[in-house]
Amino acid sequence: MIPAVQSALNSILGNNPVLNNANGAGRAFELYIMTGIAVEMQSRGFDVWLQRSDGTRIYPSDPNQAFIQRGGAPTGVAAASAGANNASVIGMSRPGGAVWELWNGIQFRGRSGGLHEIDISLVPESVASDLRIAGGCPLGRPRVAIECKDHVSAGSPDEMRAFVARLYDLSLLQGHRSYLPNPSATTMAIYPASPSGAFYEAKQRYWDENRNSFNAIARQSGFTAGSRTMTSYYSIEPHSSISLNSSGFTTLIQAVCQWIDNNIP
Amino acid sequence: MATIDSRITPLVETLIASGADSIALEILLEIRRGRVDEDTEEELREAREAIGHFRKGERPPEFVPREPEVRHLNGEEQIEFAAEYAIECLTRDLEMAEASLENLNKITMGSDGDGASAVANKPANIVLRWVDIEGALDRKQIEEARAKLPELREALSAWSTAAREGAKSE
Repeated sequence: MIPAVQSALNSILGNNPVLNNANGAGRAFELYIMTGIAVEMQSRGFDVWLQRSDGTRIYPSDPNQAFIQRGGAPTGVAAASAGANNASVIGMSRPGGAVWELWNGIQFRGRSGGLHEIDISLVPESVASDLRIAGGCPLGRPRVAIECKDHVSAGSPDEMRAFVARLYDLSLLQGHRSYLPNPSATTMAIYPASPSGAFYEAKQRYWDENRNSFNAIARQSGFTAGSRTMTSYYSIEPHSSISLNSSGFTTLIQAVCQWIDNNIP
Repeated sequence: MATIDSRITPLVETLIASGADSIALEILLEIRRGRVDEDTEEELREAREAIGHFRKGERPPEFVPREPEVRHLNGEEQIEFAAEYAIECLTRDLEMAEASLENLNKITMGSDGDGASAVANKPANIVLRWVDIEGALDRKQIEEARAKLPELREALSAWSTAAREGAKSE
């Protein structure tokens, strides 16, 4: 043990139950990216708001202004009836446009039945509202999926491979009708309660689905040489050097928000 | 795979005992793995631009895979890295938590709706909570923690120097 280091660490972490937890402030990386997207969309003229897990909005006049981040183990969407103490979300909509929710650390169900956590995701509000009735995981793929890596080590090709596999299992295509709860209906990219319309419908091919979504790996550090080999084919943007106000952070936020601004109804 | 220099053991133990076990783990993993060649920012930018073309319907270019070279840190480099990483990691986490709080307040103040109009001049005061952790984190707590970072930096620097000097004098 090193007494001077321990004393300094204890003075920073020791008296605070949140800081003195490996999963507390350490989750700030995902929160910083999530809130960065929201603030940028707000500056682009979108209506943006914070929302509790019971579906109510957080206003400056509220006595309870806690924004609750997800727990250590990823879960699905909590039922609204469970109260406001589960993970908060960020809502957004283009004025007069469809309503969307930005989620952190929610599990999605793939065609295999496997559950896959997506660190930051954007889904239609109708999907979220339906899930909040009884709680659960969406089936299908969000329109924005960002894998966040707050590690000092460079990202490996295996990390890229794992994200590709996750998105592959989450992709619902026209040919996947037999996997769905109601195979006779039009196949949508996500369930339950997807809005209707061409933007939300399942595509014919993986290529089309990859093109119709924004996917990225956001890293505090960089990517091992050769990791980019899989990026363009699977439409996964590699973003490195994400730190406070870094050019890497700005590039990521602009890329996500430009895609949202250009594409979502 | 690199051999971990036993001189970093006291720091690893101290981090674990203080509740910063995730930092200790990151240090050990990075040392064992070593420093690998990375795609340059220019190469990553090319990859992102290629995705932009792909979204417009063009066939994406193929990037040639390559085997990255790995360089393992020697003992002195391991000590230096461990000390620097511990302080940088805590600093970054606190900075990002503070910036996130500012962003959340900004969002709340900018959101309109039935409840916002009556209190247009009242600043938002968001606090952070986590589903699985008791307590909350507010701006004041973050500021207080950040104010103590120089003391930690100094203690880590002193340990790093002593650990490396000790080896030279043996």
